[in-house]
Order: sequence, then structure tokens, then C-alpha cells
Amino acid sequence: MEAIEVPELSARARDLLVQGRAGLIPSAGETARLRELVVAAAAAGAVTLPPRPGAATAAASGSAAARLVLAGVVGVAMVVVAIVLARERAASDDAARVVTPPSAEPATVPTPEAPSTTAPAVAPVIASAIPEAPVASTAPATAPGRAPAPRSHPRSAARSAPSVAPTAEVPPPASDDDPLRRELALLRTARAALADDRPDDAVAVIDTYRRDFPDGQLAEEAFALEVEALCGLGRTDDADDALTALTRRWPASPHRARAARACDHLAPEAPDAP
Amino acid sequence: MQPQLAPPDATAGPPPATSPGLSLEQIYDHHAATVWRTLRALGVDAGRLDDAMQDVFLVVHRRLAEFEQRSSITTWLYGIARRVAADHRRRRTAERRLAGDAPLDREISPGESPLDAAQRREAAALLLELLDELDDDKREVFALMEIEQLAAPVVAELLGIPLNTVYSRLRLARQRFEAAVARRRHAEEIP
Repeated sequence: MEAIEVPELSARARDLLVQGRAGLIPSAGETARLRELVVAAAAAGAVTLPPRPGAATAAASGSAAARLVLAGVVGVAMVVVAIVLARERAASDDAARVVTPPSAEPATVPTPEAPSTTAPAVAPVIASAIPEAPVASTAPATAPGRAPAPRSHPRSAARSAPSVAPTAEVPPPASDDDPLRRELALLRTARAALADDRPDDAVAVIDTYRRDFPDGQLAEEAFALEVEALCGLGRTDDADDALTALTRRWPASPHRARAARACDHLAPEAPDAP
Repeated sequence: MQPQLAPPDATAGPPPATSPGLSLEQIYDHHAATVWRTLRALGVDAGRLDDAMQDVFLVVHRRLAEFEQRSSITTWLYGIARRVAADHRRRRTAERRLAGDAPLDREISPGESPLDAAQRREAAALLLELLDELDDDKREVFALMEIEQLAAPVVAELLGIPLNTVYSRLRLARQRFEAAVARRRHAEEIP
């Protein structure tokens, strides 16, 4: 078969692809966090395995149903226990105070079904209810609020609520307004000014950065650039101060040594700067 | 960058790729980055990645016993990721307008400066924006070939389309991508 002629990408497009691809990696923390989610989800979703080729999402219904049934079993058991307890209490109340009408007590117990007439008759139900509980009618009746969201996939217990409301899953900030991008743009400008031997501009940009982002993500980098810029301006005392501040906030900062190196007068004694 | 990011068939190091008793954890540890990148490249928003990753590996978990050596495990994973991504793409469009994308991941790799890390992420974000300008069918071909470096016949098999269709989509995708790059460049130069 003759292949269709496909034009090559330009160097610039190729470059964007290579750099973008290099950036498309999950951080170590993200990888670890997702690993926990994935393993937990697999454990939770491992109940059924209907071998339906191509039906990537079909298996969900199996485990969802299993969970419903389980919720139903638990619900029924709890109701039964509640009935027993209530009746025992009613019995002892009756024995102690004949004033209370026996018929009033069951009315306060939140049972969906008509209560049996006598307490002893209820007890055996507990034993038989567990295996037989997966009756379709009991499960929805007792656990409608806990029913899995109508998603196509089961979610692990490790996940929190968002899976129910799709729009709530996405964090609010829009990417265009991402502060990190704006921070980045400012510091890039500062770095470019430094490289262009305009340390005064760099200092001005860093001042702007500080004002706009007092708690910026890139504050550490900003300090390092500032040290370099101040040294470039000959403001060695200010550079000292900036380096000291950098060291105080980030004692292990990799930028410290670099910033100090950039300033001749700081290089030898930087770690002990006052 | 990291070796495991290259097309795993080629450079995944000592891959357990064809040993029969693979566990979900092993597969995750070897292929999580590839799956993650593929999902992103195929249009899964950051805010949906948790779901999408779980979806992929749930399918892996369920189908692992059925997985035979018909294809390499990476091709198998690409196939799953691609279906999951398509599913998420379908659901995202309306939501995205309301909620926007998630913020960038802040974490910095060891030995990386915050600025470098931010630039790396920005490059990724820019690439994703450019990919967003492609139609879904072209995006799939483009991402699998240009980012995942899969061969055209593999992509044809994955997508279930004729080889010629792969090439024609690639051609159109490259043209669009190139145009998007050019537009962005002009936009940057004007101010």
C-alpha cells in the first residue's frame, strides 16, 4: 500500500513537542498518590469479573450491585437489632410501669416493615436475614442514600465525595489565570534582565513580584535572583541581607550557593553571613 | 528525561512486560507515567486524571487474567487508555467551561530549580493547549505517533482504522498543529 505523503513538522513545532512531552510527567508525589488510589480502587472493584470483551466499563454494575446488597444486609440487620432492643426495652418498661401502653413503643422505632408481634419471634430472623437478605426489595429500601452514584465505574472507598458531582471534581482556578504562570512570567523577565546586564530592571521586576506574590510559589527563586541582581548593582549590603533572608527561610536551598557564587564578595563566607 | 517515558517497548529497561504473573502494582510501577502522559495527551483534564487513572487500572485489574501475549502490554495499555480518554473527553466539554482546568502540579523534582520545574510544566501545558486545537480523531493519531512515538501500523490496530486513514489523519493533524504553533508565535510577537 502506498503511504500518504505526510509533511514533516517544522523545527519549532518539533521543539514544542519534545519539550512538552518532557514536561508531561507526573511528579513522584502524584505518582505515589495515584498508586494508592488505583490499588484501592482495584481492591474495591475486584468483586466481579464478567469476561465481556470490549466492555471496559460493564463490570461496574456487578460490584455496585454487590455493594447495594451488602448495604441492604447491614441495613436489615441493624433494623432487626433495633427492633429487638426496642422490644426488650418495651418489655422491661412494661414490667416496671404498666402505665405505658405497649402499642406506643413500636411506633417510635424506625422500621420500614410491620413489626412482629412478639420479641422472641424476631430473634431468629437475624440469623436467617443475613444469607437471605439479597432480596431485591430490601436493599433499595434500606440504603437509597448510600447507593453508588450512577457512574460507569466503581470508586474506591479511598476516594472522597467528588465522584458524585462531576463539576465539583475540577478545582476552581482557571488555567489562564494560574498564578504560577504569572509568577513564572515575572521571574523569567527578571532573569532575562540579569542576563542582559540590566540588574536594575531585574530588581524592579523582583519588587513587583514581591508585591504581587507575597507568598509566591517561586519566592525562593526570586530571592536568589535578587541576590544576583543586587550584587550586580554593587549593593553588597542589600545582597547580603537578601542572601541571609534566603538562608533563613530555606536553609537547604540549592540557590544559596549559586546566588553566593554570583557575587564575588559573598562567595567565600556566604554561609556565615551575619 | 526518564527512561521509562520513552516508548516502553524500546527502552523500558528490564520490563516484566511478558512475564505471566504480573501484578497490578508491577504494571502500575512500570507504566504509570506512560499511561498518565497518554491520558493527558489524549485530552483528559488534570481534574479528571484521578478518575481516568483509576479507570484504566481497574480495567487492567479486571482483564489481567485475560491478557494474553497477543500484543505487548504497552500496546494493550494504550488501547485501554485510549478508550478511557475518549470516554472522559465526551464528558468533559460542558463541565470544562464551567470549572476550568486544574492548576498546575506544584511539586518540584529533586535537583530541579523551581523555575526549571515551572518552565517544564509550562511547556507541557502549552503542548496540551495546542493539542486541544485538534479534532479528537486527529488528536489521537497525532498524540500516539508524535508523543508516544508509536508506529503507524500499531496506531491503526489500536484505533481500528486502516493504515491509510492513520496517515491522512496524521497529515491533517500536523498541518493543524503547525498552524496552531504559528498562531501562537504571532500572538507572542505582537506585544
